Amino acid sequence: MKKIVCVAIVGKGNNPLFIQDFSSSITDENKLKLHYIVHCSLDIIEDKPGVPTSKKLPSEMYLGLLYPTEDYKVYGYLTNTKIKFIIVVLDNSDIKDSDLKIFFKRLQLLFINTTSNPFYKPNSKIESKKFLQDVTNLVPSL
Amino acid sequence: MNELPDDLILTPQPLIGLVGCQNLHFYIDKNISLKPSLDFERIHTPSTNSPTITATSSPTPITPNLSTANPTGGSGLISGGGSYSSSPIDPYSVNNTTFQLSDLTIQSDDIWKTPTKGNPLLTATVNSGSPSNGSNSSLSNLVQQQSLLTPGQPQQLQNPSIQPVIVGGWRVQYNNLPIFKVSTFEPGSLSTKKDKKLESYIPMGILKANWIHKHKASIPSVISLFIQWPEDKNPKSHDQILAQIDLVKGNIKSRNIKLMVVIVTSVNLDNHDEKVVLVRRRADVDPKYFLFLNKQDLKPFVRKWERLALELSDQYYKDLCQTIRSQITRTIHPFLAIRYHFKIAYYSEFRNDIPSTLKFYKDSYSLLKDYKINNDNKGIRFAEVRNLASFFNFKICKISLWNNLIHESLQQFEKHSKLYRIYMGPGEKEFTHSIWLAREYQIFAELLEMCPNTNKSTFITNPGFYYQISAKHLSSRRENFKALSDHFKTSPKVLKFRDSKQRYDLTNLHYIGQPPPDLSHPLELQSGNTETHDELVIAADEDDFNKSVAAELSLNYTTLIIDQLNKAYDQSTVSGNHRILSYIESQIAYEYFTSKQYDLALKYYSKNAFTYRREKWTTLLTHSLSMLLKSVHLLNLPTNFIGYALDYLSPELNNTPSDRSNIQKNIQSILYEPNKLSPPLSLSAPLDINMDHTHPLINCRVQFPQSFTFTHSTTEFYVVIGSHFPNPIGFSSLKVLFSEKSYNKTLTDNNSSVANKGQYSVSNIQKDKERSDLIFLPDESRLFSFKLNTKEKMELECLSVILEMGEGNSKINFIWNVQDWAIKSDETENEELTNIQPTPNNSNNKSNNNNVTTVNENEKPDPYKKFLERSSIRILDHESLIQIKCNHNSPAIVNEFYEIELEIVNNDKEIKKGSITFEINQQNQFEKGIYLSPDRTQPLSQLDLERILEKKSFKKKFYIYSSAVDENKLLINISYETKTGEISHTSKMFIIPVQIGFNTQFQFFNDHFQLISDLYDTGVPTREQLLLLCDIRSNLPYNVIIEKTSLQISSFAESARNSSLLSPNLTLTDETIANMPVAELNSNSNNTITSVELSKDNNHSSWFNLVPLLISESISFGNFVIEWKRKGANVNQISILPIALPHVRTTSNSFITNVEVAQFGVVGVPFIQTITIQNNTHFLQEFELVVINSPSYGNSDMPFFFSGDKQSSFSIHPDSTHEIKHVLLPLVAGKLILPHFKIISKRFNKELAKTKNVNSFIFIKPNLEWISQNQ
Repeated sequence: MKKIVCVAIVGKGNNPLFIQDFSSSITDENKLKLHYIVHCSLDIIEDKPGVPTSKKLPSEMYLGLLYPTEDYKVYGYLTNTKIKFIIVVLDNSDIKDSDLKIFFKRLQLLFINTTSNPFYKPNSKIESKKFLQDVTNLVPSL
Repeated sequence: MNELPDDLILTPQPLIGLVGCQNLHFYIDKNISLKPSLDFERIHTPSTNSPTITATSSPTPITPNLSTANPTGGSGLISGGGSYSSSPIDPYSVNNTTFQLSDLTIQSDDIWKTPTKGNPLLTATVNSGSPSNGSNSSLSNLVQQQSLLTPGQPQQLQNPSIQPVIVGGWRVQYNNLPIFKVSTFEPGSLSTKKDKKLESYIPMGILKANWIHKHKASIPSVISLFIQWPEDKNPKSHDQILAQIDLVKGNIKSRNIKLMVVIVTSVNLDNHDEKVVLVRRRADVDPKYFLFLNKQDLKPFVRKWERLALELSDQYYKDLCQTIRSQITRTIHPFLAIRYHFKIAYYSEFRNDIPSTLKFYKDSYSLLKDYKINNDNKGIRFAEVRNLASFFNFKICKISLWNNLIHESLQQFEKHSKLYRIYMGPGEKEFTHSIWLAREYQIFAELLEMCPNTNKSTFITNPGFYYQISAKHLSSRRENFKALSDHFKTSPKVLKFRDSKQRYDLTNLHYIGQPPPDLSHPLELQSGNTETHDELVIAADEDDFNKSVAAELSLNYTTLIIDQLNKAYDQSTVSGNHRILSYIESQIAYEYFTSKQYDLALKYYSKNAFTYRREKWTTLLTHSLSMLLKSVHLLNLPTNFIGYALDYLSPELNNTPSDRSNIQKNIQSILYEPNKLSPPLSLSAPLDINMDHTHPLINCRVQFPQSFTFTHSTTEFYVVIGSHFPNPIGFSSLKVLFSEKSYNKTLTDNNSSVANKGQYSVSNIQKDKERSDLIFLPDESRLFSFKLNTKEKMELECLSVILEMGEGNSKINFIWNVQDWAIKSDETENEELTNIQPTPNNSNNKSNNNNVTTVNENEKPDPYKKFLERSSIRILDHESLIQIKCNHNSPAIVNEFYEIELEIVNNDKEIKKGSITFEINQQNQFEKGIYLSPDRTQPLSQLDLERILEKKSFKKKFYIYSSAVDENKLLINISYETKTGEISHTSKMFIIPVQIGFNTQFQFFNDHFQLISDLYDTGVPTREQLLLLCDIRSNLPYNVIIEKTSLQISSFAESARNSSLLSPNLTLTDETIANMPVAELNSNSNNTITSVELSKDNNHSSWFNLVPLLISESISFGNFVIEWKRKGANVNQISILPIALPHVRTTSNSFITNVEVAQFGVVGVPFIQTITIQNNTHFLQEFELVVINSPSYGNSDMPFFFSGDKQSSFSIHPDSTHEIKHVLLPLVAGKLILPHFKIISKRFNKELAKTKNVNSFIFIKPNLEWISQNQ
């Protein structure tokens, strides 16, 4: 069973760059709810005491568990360019932080590779099919 | 939290029973010392009318002994306690009865006015822990009533600094509560404990419903027996005492309740009094707890007593814990294990032993969990288990929170919610689980909200989150019930309970979590013994279920859900997480939408849409918009519908093409077929939509190809409209409005009319091709060009572009207010303007211009590539191509009729007619004018222009006259109309300097040709000959011919006018004098000379002989007049240039001396020299005459003999003339020096000027007669 329900990348202006759900049995309503969850989790990221202010560089980019909703858990990862990686996993899945960190690192790597494409306009939606494929491949690794 | 019994919510207090002395009990009750505690407090009392209060009629099993033994007190007790434990006190249901209460309290106490919405403020409180709640039923009732009427007990005001949070009829406040509760008991009234055989006892349920209440209200930990010591020595009274002791002791024995004995006496009793000892023995209490009370020192007694009572009470609960602990080991039934753990926890709570309380609650919770997992996997007892779990969970959470173990509390709740999330049991009851879950979340949220320790700014401890989930469960409750509702709507079993209120009331129950036993159930009556307990449960269950279904049917879910969400919203506002707020908003909106309150849904969704648009979350925005669309559609707001539809169609949103296409169809349906939509939606009036410059759906750009054009010509105007409608879309007309109305343009397409219902065949439309229709294919940009015929000179601006869709009233006007966003004058435009502005005389340039325009015409600017937004154009007058020239020979000279030849060269088309105006800078001081001829007869200001053929020129001479030195600015304006009707204006300015043109020099000499150098000091004497030399030097670049020079002597009057500045008081009244010349002109050297040509830097001189007549400090004798003409000019054109003579000082001549000598002399011939002296003074003047002959000449001693006075004195009368005659006889020939006739005025002691000259010579001819005689 896949644990990850949704992978989202949010730009520094809190605009969504990439949101993809990975659950096979997901309904439209739940898809919408995932969007809401990801959006709400931005509030938590902003509130997190570990989130760096403008000057300090974060010592740890992994933000940990952002918040448990009733059905899901939301984990976050913040790069020092203020790109946020958010994943939503099923609530009953027990995932180690270290695994999550590795997952986020890989995800960031994919993101970097994709956005390094000269045809990618920074801070715009990622529409690369390859990226989607890579992420889809990455998701079961957790 | 209202779902929970008060007994559970509140921290229990030990109960001390008072027996014996009623009046004393009351005093003790009032005087028990207080301790501060932070606990819940119910802030409204259920009104007696409320159907929830049924405890008074509640069946007896709860406190059977009490009620039977003490009917008055018992019922009162139950009414007091039971009313509080009756639980589901819906704040709304008691609204009516309690409203006046809150009204009452507003005046007296504003502290309780908190802004919490939806919770009626009920301030009349009866504290269940209040000491009055006890044996004295009438009293407790009284207190209750009183407190209803007089709200606000003083102790509630003791801590006003803490603003209590009020949630669902509860609040948390620091209260000073008595350290324990006291209650009066009748001796022997306590229920006796039933002995159970633990090994074989099979409990029917986990926890008995009345247990908590029993321990809180009816089983004291300590009985304090007050014995009124009899005054008389009657042994009978002692027997009574002993009997009372026995009764009490026997009563408490089974429960091991502690006993205190207080002997109340007014006299000092000896401790070893025989009777006392007897009583003590009978009582069998530790002497420590055997007290005497003398009524004088009540207060210290109470302090001592309460300390001891507390001690005993603590001991009691401790002992109980011990007992139960030992029971645990002996039990095997899981229910009992759970029950005993709970009991220990609860007893520990009495003792305020937090760690062990928490531990045992947790233990009982986990035991319950184990039971659920191991023994109840089918979920038979699920309802009971979850209810107990809820109780335990509440206790654990509350105690953790209260003791600042927030994290533990959160963990516990998380565990709890996970454990019981999945429902087990019959499918039709699933909705009850949703109710339960919603309640669990709500209770936890309320706990968090009221707990003063929680930090509400962090998400996880913010109650908002839990309220939100509670709302979610409420909505799933509705979902789960939906299927049932149809089934049970008409079921008589359910309808039976339609009017009864479902509630959760412990007093009705045997066991917590089990449905209440239905006494009226026939099965139970018939075969109560044959049925197993489980079957009984099931039977009761059905009733219970039907009841809850009935309640569910009458429920308004939306109010519940919205209420929860509103709470969540309020709470999340505290944390300031706007995204979470938006999420809650969306949930509220959805709830309103589902409950068909579309206006409210609209409000929240539009808030949502705003947020998500700002946040650029297109998915969520799309969702909000689609919900908004549905809402406004159902609200029948066609204009809003169109507005949101346009938003929704924006290509930035990630909605599906079919959605988009549907919406477009809807818009078209509104316009053309209003009835196609359900409900029908149509526009009642044309709708104007102000579009953004770059609206993502349809954008519009406008352009004038040039930044300027000319009047009466044609120019073009481009409108580019790009559509991103998902389907081809047709408009009915395109209007372009300009700042000048007459330029407005309209383009109409009849194809997309109402008749066609917005349907049009697009098969033969080729994308991006020139077409005349107004149909746009998806993602097509089309250029419309309009031809404008320019008229007047003006700045023409495009104000707006209107694209109309539909006809009549059902029409949408898309309006782009171009002028609002247009860049009025950008730099490029100015640059262009200056670059292209043609210079009229440059024909090359003109042809270039032509080329440029032709290029423009051939290649229209590609609107899809570079489209310079230019919404305004300058309409200029037609450029004038004529050339204005003035042929003249500068400079002009003062007083000259300066000839100028105007030449107009027509480079334009043939000029039909026109006019020329002349303007010159006029000045007041002197004369200036433009004339057609070289005289003043024909002044010139305007001239009509006649036909001038192409490439021909027009010439006209005119003259400018200026009487002073100046710079003439001549402006020539020409307006003309060509044969083709183009009117042009042009003008040109010419600058003509006006000069004197000649340098003139004037020199005065006396009759001896001696230059008078100081014209202002000594000046020139009047009435004497004066010579004037006038030198003209030409500095003109051309040659002039001096026709004549003359001297114009001014008259007295003129001179006076000129010199009036110098001697202003000089007035001339006499006409004759005024006309007299100031000097007398004797001769002019140039009289005979005709005309002289004078070239540059050459001189022309003339001599004048004049005699000044007027004495003045400064006088100009007149003007030197030069009559001249330009070389080559005709004879008539002689200009006269007068040049004023310099001012000189003329001095009065006191003595006019005139010396007359012959012109020559002949040797030996005498000649006469006469000196006449006129005395002009008013005095007699004396003179002295000395003749000094020249000492020698040649070889003769003296050149002359003379006769007459050689030395004499004479005097002259005023105004008379004296003549001195000398006859001179020349002795030798040659140039001889005349003798010096030195005449000295005695008065002035000065020699006369005329005779001063010592070097005057005379030629003496030889005497020819003498020579011939000699021969």
